[in-house]
Amino acid sequence: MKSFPEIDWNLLMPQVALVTAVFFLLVLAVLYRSRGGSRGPVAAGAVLSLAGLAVAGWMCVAQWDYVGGTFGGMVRIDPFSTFFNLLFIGGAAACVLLSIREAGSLRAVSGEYYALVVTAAFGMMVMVSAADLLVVFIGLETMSLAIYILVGCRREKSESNEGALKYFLIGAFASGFLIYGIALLYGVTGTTRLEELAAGLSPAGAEVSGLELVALALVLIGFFFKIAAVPFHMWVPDAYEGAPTPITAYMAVAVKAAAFGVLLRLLGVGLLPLADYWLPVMWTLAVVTMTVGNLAAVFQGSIKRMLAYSSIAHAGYLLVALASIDPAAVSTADDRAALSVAFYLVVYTLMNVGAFGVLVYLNSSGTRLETLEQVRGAGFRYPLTGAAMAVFMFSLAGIPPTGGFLAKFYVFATAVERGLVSLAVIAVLNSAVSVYYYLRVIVQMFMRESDSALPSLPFSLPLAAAILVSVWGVLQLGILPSPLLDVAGRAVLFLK
Amino acid sequence: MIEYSQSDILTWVVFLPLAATVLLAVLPSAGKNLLRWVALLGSIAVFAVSLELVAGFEPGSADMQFVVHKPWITSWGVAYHVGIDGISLFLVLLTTFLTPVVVLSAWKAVEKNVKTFLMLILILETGMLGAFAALDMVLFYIFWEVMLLPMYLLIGVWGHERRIYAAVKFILYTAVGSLLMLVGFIYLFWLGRDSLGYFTTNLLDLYRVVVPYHAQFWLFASFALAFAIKVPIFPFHTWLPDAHVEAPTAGSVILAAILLKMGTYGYIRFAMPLFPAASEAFTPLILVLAVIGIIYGALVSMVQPDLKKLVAYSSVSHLGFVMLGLFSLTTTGVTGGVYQMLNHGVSTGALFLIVGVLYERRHTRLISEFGGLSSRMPLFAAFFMIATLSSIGLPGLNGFVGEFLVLLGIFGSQHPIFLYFAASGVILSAVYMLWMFRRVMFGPLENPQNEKILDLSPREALVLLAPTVMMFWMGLFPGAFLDRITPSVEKFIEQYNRKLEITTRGPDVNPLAGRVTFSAGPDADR
Repeated sequence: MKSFPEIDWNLLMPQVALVTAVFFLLVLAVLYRSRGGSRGPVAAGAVLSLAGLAVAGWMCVAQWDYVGGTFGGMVRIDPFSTFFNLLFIGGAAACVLLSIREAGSLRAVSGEYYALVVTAAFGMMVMVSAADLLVVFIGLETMSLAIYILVGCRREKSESNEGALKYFLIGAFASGFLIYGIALLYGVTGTTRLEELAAGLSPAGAEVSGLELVALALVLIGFFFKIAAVPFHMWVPDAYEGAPTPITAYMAVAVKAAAFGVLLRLLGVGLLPLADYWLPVMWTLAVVTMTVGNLAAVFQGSIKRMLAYSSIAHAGYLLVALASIDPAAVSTADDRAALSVAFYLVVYTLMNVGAFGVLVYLNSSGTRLETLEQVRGAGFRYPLTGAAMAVFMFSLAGIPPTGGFLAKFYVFATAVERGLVSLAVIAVLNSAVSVYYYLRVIVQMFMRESDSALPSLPFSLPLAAAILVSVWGVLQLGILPSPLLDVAGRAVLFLK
Repeated sequence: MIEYSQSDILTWVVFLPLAATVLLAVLPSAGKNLLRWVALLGSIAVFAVSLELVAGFEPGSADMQFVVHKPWITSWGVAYHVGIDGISLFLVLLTTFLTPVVVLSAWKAVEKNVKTFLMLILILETGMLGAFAALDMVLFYIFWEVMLLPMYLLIGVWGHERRIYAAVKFILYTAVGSLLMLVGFIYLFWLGRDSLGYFTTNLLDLYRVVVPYHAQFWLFASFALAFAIKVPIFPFHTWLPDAHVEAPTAGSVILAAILLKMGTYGYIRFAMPLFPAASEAFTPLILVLAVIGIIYGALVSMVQPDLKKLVAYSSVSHLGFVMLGLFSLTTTGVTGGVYQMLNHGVSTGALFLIVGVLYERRHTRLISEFGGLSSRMPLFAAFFMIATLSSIGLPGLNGFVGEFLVLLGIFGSQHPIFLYFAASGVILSAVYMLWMFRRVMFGPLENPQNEKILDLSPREALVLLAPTVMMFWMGLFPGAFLDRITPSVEKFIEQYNRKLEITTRGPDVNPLAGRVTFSAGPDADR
């Protein structure tokens, strides 16, 4: 018997690339710390992290068709995890592009900033590549700790500290729930492996022990905190508002995508026998999350806070897809629930990166253009930015021909197929509410005049690149979604 | 699959405005006149190409023509599938005909952000043309919503005082309706999968799906609500006066002339042929609402102090006639309804242009501000008179043909009783239109501000001439139009009746039942 399992490092090259980049970034931070003050570290850090992400992304693409496990089967690389890994790399790269202007102004942490962004991406990749609950937990913690620090990295601002502290405390509780749930699951089944878990639980339809249900509840609550499902969303508005905007974007897209990716795998594989118990939970939480998120977003004056609540609402739409999982079809070509989640997350990433990117750009001159009142007249003052924002708002509202429409269409179609017509109706009514507050941004930007002259904004290539790519992606996925659908369709075949 | 005759003219017509938009986008926004000329010539080019459709259209055929079918989102069976029959042919032409008119009418009226304004008009044109031509449900839905956004911005950016309220009301009403329709459509999509055995959003294939009666009920309700808001049928009309009054002239014209037709077109193309049994059950209700709309719209028009509001409410009344015609389900009535859609587009479009002319001169739309204008504006008075008479339905002008056919059709239908109410609407419309005309144009010229009012400029005369010619043409020679409309209408009615027979309350089976469901929420007992 081998004392240590053989490790196939080739499989883990993307992760290795990221960790290498992190080391270099840390060294860079130390080197530049002694000099201080210049823009050098920011630019070098951005270039270095983008390079690391690009290499990791390229390696992910290269291993697209590869299916295999390592670390004694605790880690699993397959198209499903590769799909999500690419999504995280994209999200992290967008975060870096959005950060280039802002990171320079962060005292004391500017060197570590990018290292933490890349570390979080590494954590997410570990999460979805996990075939074992403990690895999920390790990935989750790696990601979360990095994000806690990033939220609080505007050290001189009290709202940043407040957001970080709230997020950290609540996140710690969530981790506690999760690890306790994992422990109980281990108690019931004697394993933490996802596939063995399914075998150890009571089969579908049979009597279920109370312990199993408690374990299920604890694990799910742990994840509900991360995806910000109502009523576990209290930390979101403060943390999102306190964090630097690029980090808010990062949390809204990549962190959420990671949690949903793991949830898909956990529900579809490990906890599948308990589907009769968690499906109604998803149904209820979907309704509550959508409704609370949308109604709260209506009353926000700050665009960033509005986007925070809107991200809660979108988590609700994604929960609609989770509530529509067909236990018999998991990991087959008919698994439309997983497919619609995967498609939705890509579109959601693009439109949020874009919307937050526009926010970063509007605030890049020193004059604050953050609230609905402050952006009055900005649409015609900055026509291209305004047009881009319009595209993102229409997409978030789910209006064709944007990707946001097709993403919602697939989710609702999945729900209706499973007979959840009332859930679909509630979801579309929520969409109608969301039209109101997303379009209010357009109303303010295009239909009202500014009270004072708006400043001219300095052009920034990285920001422009991030926004342009997002616009292109949102429209491309709205008009020609087939390539992504095929890719996502292949990815979900490997859920199991 | 069926082998289609390939012809790309329709695709050209639909996307040519978008090409013009791209051209506008790269031009500098400072050269306003250049932008206007580009938009005008672009939209005239679209109209010219769309004449090809009339030329190549086979008059006797009821089938879809100029069909293009290209796979698009294959995993869901969505295709780029467009084609037109006699019903949509003239709606497409109406759109391409009115767009240049609208662009020309806004030559002087719009000075702010001209480039964006013209781009939105052209995007709107693509949306409308696409919606009329689409034979695929997803494609239709996309174009349907694409129309919404430019109109929303047109009202909200270039509108009058309460423009934002009107724009938001417009988009929220329409969005709620269309989203519910989306759910209905998705449900139909799965029914189609179960019944046909493959994924498709092809409308012509979905026509063949026999939907069980109780499902039809809900599906029809979801489609009908979306279209009813758009038409608008009483009591879903409250967004319309606001949107019309606050919109700039160009927006009002497009809204009244074409966007409202999208609702009635939706009934004849989607709601009725897809769900005939439910449509049959809803017919009395819709007829009653249509008649209420006719009379209520007319009565409210009568007391409007605001010219634009008056015309807006008259739309509610006229669209009631269209609905009456469609739901008479006689060849005459439906043909009349389709014809009345075109008439309303031309004559109400012209009336909004006329109100726009007055507004540009006086910056008011209150009837009481005017009076005796005919002495100062004789040319304008002539155009105004013709448009008014056309709207009333004077024989020899277009309105008469449509209204007469509708009334004839409803008399021959199963519900002749509605004839009496509808006919009273004709009388009322004469009352409010002529009364309005008298107060604005005749009488003594009392308001000193009207002393110096100028008659039409050549450009404005040209703008008004175009619809006026159509009023005479459609009134005097309706045959050319009806010959092309009637076969498609006959086919529509025949399909409707055949499908009605198959469905009529057969075994009440929900194809979605019997699949794996779980006990979650109110769906559990399904």
